[in-house]
Amino acid sequence: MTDDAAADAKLVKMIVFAVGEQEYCIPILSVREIRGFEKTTALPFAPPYVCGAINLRGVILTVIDFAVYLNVTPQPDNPRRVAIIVESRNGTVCGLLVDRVIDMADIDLGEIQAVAEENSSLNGLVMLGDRMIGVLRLEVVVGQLVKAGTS
Amino acid sequence: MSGDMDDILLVFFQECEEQLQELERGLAALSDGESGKETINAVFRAVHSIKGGAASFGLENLVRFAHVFESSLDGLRSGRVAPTPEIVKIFLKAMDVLSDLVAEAQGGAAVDQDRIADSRTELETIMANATGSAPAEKQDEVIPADFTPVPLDFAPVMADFDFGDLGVEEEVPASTALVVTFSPHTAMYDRGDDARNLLIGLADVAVAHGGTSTVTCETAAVPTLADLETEKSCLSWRVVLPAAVPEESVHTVFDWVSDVCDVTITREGAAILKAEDKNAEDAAASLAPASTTDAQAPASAIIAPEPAQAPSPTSAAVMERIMAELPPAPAASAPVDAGKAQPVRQPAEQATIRVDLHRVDDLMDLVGELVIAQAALEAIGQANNGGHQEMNKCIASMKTLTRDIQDAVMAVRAQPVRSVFQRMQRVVREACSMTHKDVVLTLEGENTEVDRTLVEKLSDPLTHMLRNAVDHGIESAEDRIAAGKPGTGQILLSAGHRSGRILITIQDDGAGINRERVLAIGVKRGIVAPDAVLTDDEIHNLIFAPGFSTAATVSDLSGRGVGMDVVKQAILGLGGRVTISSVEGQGTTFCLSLPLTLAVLDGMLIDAAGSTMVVPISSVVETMMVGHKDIYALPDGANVVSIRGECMPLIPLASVLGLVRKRATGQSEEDVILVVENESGARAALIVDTIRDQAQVVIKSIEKNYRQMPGVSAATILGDGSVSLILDIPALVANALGRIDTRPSDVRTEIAA
Amino acid sequence: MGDKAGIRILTVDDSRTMQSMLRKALEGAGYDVIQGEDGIDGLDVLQAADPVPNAIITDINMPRMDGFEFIEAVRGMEKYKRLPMIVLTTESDPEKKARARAAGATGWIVKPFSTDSLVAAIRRVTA
Repeated sequence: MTDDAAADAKLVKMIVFAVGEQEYCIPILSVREIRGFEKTTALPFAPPYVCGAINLRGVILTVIDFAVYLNVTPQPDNPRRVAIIVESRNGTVCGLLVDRVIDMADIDLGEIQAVAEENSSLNGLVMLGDRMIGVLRLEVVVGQLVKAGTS
Repeated sequence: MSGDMDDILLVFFQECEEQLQELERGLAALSDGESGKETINAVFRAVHSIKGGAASFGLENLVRFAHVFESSLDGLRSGRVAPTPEIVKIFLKAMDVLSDLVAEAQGGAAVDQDRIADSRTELETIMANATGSAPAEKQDEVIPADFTPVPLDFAPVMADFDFGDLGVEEEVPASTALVVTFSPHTAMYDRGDDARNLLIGLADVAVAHGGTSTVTCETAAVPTLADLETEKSCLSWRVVLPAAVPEESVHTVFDWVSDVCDVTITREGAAILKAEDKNAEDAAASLAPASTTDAQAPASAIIAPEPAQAPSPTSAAVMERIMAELPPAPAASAPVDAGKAQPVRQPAEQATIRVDLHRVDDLMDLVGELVIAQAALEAIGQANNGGHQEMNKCIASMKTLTRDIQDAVMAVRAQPVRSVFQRMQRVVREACSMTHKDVVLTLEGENTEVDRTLVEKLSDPLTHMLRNAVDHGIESAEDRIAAGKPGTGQILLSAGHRSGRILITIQDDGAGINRERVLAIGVKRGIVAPDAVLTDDEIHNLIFAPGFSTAATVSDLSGRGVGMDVVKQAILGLGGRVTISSVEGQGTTFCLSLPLTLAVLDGMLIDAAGSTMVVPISSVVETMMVGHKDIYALPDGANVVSIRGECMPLIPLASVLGLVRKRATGQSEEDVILVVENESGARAALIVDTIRDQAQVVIKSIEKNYRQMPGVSAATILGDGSVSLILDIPALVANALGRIDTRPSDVRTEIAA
Repeated sequence: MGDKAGIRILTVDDSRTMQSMLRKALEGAGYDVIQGEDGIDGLDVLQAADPVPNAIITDINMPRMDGFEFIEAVRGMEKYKRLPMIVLTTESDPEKKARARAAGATGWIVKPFSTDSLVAAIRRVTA
């Protein structure tokens, strides 16, 4: 919950998770389910952050190791790593491997402080109590999976 | 409302598509000399149906042409026109025009008016030359010359409904009232009609002319109750209509029943009419129920006479009686005899249901899941080391069932190639008219069934290949005759099943491939080295090389589409292969070999870089161990292996796919290799860790959620639920060959292909 | 429209376009519509129908069993002896009309039809 809810505040329910020391959030509506981490199938010529492919009830999708993607150090020996299965607006489904899911929060979009340039995967930062949380731009992350040039 | 109509319009176009296919099939049968009644009826019905629907949507161009077409087909139906080859040709041409008009109505390109007019004239000529009765008259009665299609919005038009035309206000009314008397025969009731309907019709006519009708019922003919036959008509009516009502309107009301109802129409003095007025209304009010009862009575009426029939024991007579309606039928209903009453049913062989495509696709997906689940179960059974014997038995029978279900669903999705094949008739006809050649396309094995996804995708490649056959394969009539062949060229398009695949051949009796010319072009285009020595087969395959067909060698016709390299790509994309054989002077044959389905694949499971992968069985030539002494390193770091004297590139799968593990190459004395080949027969050896199994796998796309990967065509899910990649062998082979420059130049054409 | 509630019409036509239009027109006018795709199917639908339709509208040109045969077959069954049956066709050939009469047709409407004329025709035979 944000402290001061302005009358026209645009609240969006987000799921908050941790990767390494940092917390991030994505809209809950884009989350399909959360699964324990499982063995993936390696894919040829995949970018380093792509762990590989998994089978989600007959649909094949790839899992992104978010720590590698964001270039942060993951929590060591973490048995609670989970894959958040998300679906982007254009229908691409993928898994985000994170250290742990923390909670849910209503984020006021007006409160987000933009930090990065346009096509960054980070939309901005938002304060949740005394925690600084990164708001991710899912379309950018997922878009890279589908589009990236072939060899 | 418009949404509804749009939906119906879609249904209409869909139906047109089907009817056109039906038409094509029928005309094809006719040109094969099979002019059975059923064929002719089907052909007629197809055009008739399109016309009927088009009229409802106000598609004038379509209606007008369909009408002329239908009329001449009607000549065929009535036997006045014989389906000679010339006439069938005219019909085929008309079919093409009709098909284009349908496309035009769908928003496609406008059809050339001259073409329509030409075809129209030809059709009319058929009618004019028809033996027997006058054609013009016949045409008129099918549709009035000024036939106007009704537009979409159901604007009220007068239907030719013979109970009468409302609101037809033509004539100046006569001065005296119109008196109508009528007495229906029993037969009229047997037609599901009723005096009531006629009374309503007359009342409507009266109202339409600004007045009312007065009705009197004549009961004089009604016998006493004891003598009353429940089904016999014995009432008559007298109806007085306003003076404004013209007699024609009344005739229209009785038109349909004129044979089963006595009618008189007279003009009478207004004074008499007034006098009867009161009585008439009373009579009508009291007697109307009687007529209603009469009309609705049959259900109860049948029972009454039955006891009287009981004593008669002779079975046949009784049965016939029972069959022919139990009550002693009144004279007029007698014509209904037992033989006609029970329609002879045709065998149910044609029984079909229409199923939404999505449902079948969903079913296919579910079956795919089932196959995977079943494989998982099997894996568990085996893992338990012999496990429970009973369970293994169950699993084995489940496996059989699963296969059967899979086959059954595939059969549901299967479609005969006929629809595509028949479309080729038109392709050839058009190609002929553009090149001024005369070619007959013969179809064989149109009933061969393949997965529907495949049927659709065959259309483009076949179109190009047939155009090519007409354009480049078949010689001009003069050249043919000079070569001692008949002036008319022959192309045979056939389909059949062969060892789990479908084989399609396109065979022409043309000049064959001119190898010298092809080679010269290949050299000129830089596809082969000038000094290369190629086999005949390699030369033939040059025509599939990208860049082989260019504007200079392609006439208008073939140039319309794409080169043969694109055709080859399309076939490869379907998991198929193309081969050519050609004898100079005698013709060329293209063979397409395709999988029956795009949904499952027989694969060999192999391990490389710690992952299990699938190699399509169709591309595996053999598996073997090779010792290091047979492997030669090339200066660029690539390796080739010599197998029984044949050199081929070695593909270390793990590293080629960028999945290198610290695999100690050279540690063991031998490597496990799979000799694989691409569609044109170029081979390479894949180094794998182990060969695990053979299995049928369900092909899953990965491209929806991930980019395309080099060397990978798709993926599948194995029995343990893990994802396994299906390797793209042609791409891997091409890649390997491309890196080796020491190969003779002819191979490079195959790489490109 | 209330008076048409519960009036059931069987339409028999092999054209799905025509069937869609008939359904739209008749349901729009408040009738209950059941459909058969040719004579044979029409008979099946008719015999399975409960309640029995109040009238039948049938095409003539159909595969397997045409409209004439269909009408004859229906008329031949005691249960439907007096069921109104209207022919809906593009044809207006007098010979064919005569055949339809002989088979026992109650009326004849020429396609393309207007909703009004169709409803008027049905109203007459089912009043």
